[in-house]
Amino acid sequence: MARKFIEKIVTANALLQGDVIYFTKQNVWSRNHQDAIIAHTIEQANELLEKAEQQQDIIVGAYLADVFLDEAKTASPLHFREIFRSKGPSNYFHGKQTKT
Amino acid sequence: MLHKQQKAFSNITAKSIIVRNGFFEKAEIDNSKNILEIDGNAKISQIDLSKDMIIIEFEKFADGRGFSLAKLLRQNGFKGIIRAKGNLLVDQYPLAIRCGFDEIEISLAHAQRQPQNQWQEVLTRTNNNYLDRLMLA
Amino acid sequence: MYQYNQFDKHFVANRAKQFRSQVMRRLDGSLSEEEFRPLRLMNGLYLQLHAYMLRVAIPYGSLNSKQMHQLAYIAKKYDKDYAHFTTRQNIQYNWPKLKDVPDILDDLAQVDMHAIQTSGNCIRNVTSDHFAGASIDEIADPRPSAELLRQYSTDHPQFQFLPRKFKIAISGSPNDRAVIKSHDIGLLMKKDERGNLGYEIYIGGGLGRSPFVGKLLKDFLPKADLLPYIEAIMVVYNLNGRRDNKYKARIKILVHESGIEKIKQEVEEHFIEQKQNFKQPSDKLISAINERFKLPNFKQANIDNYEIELKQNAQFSSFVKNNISEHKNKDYSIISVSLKNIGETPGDATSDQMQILANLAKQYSHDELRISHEQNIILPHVHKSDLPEVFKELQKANLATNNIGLISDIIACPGMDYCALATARSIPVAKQIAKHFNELNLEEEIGQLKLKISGCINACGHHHVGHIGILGLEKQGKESYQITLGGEENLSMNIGKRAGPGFSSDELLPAIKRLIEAYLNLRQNPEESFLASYKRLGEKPFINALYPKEEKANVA
Repeated sequence: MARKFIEKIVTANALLQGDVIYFTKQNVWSRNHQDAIIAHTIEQANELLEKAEQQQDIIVGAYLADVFLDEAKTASPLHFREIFRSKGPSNYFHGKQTKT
Repeated sequence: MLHKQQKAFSNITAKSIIVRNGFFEKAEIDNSKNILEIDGNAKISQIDLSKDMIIIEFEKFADGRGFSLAKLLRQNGFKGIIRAKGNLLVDQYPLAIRCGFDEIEISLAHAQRQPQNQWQEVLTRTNNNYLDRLMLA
Repeated sequence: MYQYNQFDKHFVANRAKQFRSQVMRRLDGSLSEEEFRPLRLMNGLYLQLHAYMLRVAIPYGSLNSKQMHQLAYIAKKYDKDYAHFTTRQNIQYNWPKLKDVPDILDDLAQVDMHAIQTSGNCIRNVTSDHFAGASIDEIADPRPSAELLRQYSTDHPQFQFLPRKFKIAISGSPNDRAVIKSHDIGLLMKKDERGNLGYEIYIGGGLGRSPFVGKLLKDFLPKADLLPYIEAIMVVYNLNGRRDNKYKARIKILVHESGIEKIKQEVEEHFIEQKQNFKQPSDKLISAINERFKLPNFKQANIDNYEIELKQNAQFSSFVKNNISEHKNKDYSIISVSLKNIGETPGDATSDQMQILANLAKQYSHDELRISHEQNIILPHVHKSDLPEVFKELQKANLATNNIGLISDIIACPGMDYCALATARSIPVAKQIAKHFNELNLEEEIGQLKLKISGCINACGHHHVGHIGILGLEKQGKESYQITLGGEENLSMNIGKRAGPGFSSDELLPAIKRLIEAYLNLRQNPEESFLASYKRLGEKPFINALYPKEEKANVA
């Protein structure tokens, strides 16, 4: 039985700054998770990743990350690792959590 | 595959470049030379030291066995030319020289991305290293 | 203290320059990320979850006040005003920007420091006993040997692209404080029957995915043969270590798969060859190194004030009991400053704390500091008459936590709060456990107990050798923690045994509480440590405490 496809986004780290970035509709990168373009099929996901990986001159280590969609279709990270990446460390108020 | 004994030299084409003394040269076929080609799996005790030239293939730049092989060849008295074949990084060039390599054969594409001036720049790094100092001071 | 000469200074400055050029070449496309990665790693630069991380070497754990001041300055200028001391005598900055890293390396070079070979598949920062040069039980100061190995391994042309990373540790005392048997090479300094100095050599130890206790490779190697012998080991490893599988590439797997006898034979064969080829460092160079580690000029002073303070100040005497170790000079002490303040991140220090420690070292510890693999900072040479004053200063700086060796003196890796490799967090777990036992005022009652936490199988938190080890994993999308028992880290090193199924983050502290309660009930007397009880009674009563019968059905 085929499993239900879990929606995905493309994430990476910025080459110069090192912080977490998300690939968006406009083929540019955003610091905000909610700006990420969502892949609804595996084909879309692979295509997005391929496009994202062409920007090696500004990013490091792009990969696909699972998300879940709420009723308003807003995507949130699914795995706890991605939740941490979208916020920052839990021991200090540093990282992305300071910006929201 | 222990040795790629006496492999024909024809696989070196215009697609590759030889880096020698920091300069790019076109790879040319010299049939008069008695050449042995080996890779990282070679066993040093089985290598014929009477060759004119030994080519050590680096399958990946991060596979550092070739550095020790070259060093052991020199320690065992090999006087011929040692060439590294593979897309080594510019930053590995001084290490290769210090291990006893004379030259490096890289692909044309690699040479285009890491141009000659970069190979020349790193040459100075062969001086002033800890190991020489420890052993000579 | 080892002071850099012109050669060293020139070298580290050049390396910083080289790194600048490597960054430029990454940015202009000459280097792909795949090509740049090993180069940045051998200069200590990782990419973590939220940012880059720069790992700076503190060779064999020794530094002076000027260097500590510079580390504090870097934390202030380029980072977030703090840094993290690691289990490998390094310091890590968690938030540097790539563009700043060449500048940071320049700043480090100004005080003869660097980040060279703190990562990558090369010979890493050589670690050593954090009481080196001070402890009463030392046969010889291991640092001149460690410094020789640092020089030898730095930019060694053959060994920058080994099958995998390579760690060497050295102890000059039979009371091994450097966990030498958990290293690729462990060196124990000793004397032969004629009184000549040399090394007992262990090989193939390691923690991580496949933990191994180092095996005896050589019973006695004369001191002068160190470099050719190490070179022989490295050649054997470089040519024969597995390169087909990253998880099987460490020398421990080669030793395990080939057998120690075969490795011994190959090393000995190469050694004979190396000895002929190897030009030994000159006596002049060796003695120049030794000269730099000579003992400070110890002062002579009356210590009555210390004796009085001991009797009158209970806090002070408790601090002395837990945080002071015996010095070579009977009027001196070694202070271990705990970076395990209750409720804070193990191993972290703020810039201000680093500066205060630097000042204390300058004024009271002959300008010397050490970093321990247990993530604490040592003031190695403090005259007993100065102890009360130093204690007061430490109190003021929130650095007088008197928990060295106790349950709250936890080793913890950064875990998933920072690390890209982690599978679970370590820091919140460490904070929670320390806080719990501190609030109940039970730390002293429990006594000597080494609790170590790793946030993934790579075991940077040394969980395998904790009396109680905790390993953070992921289970069905949640953090899950496995407990190991009975690990030991000295010369009788022992790999802890997994107790059973893992615990969720909520279940973990209750489980540790049951374990400690069981120990307190089971011990013969208050002097019997957790480890001693465990050894006497075996695992069964402890496992029963962790997995009580009525709950067993639920944990699976």
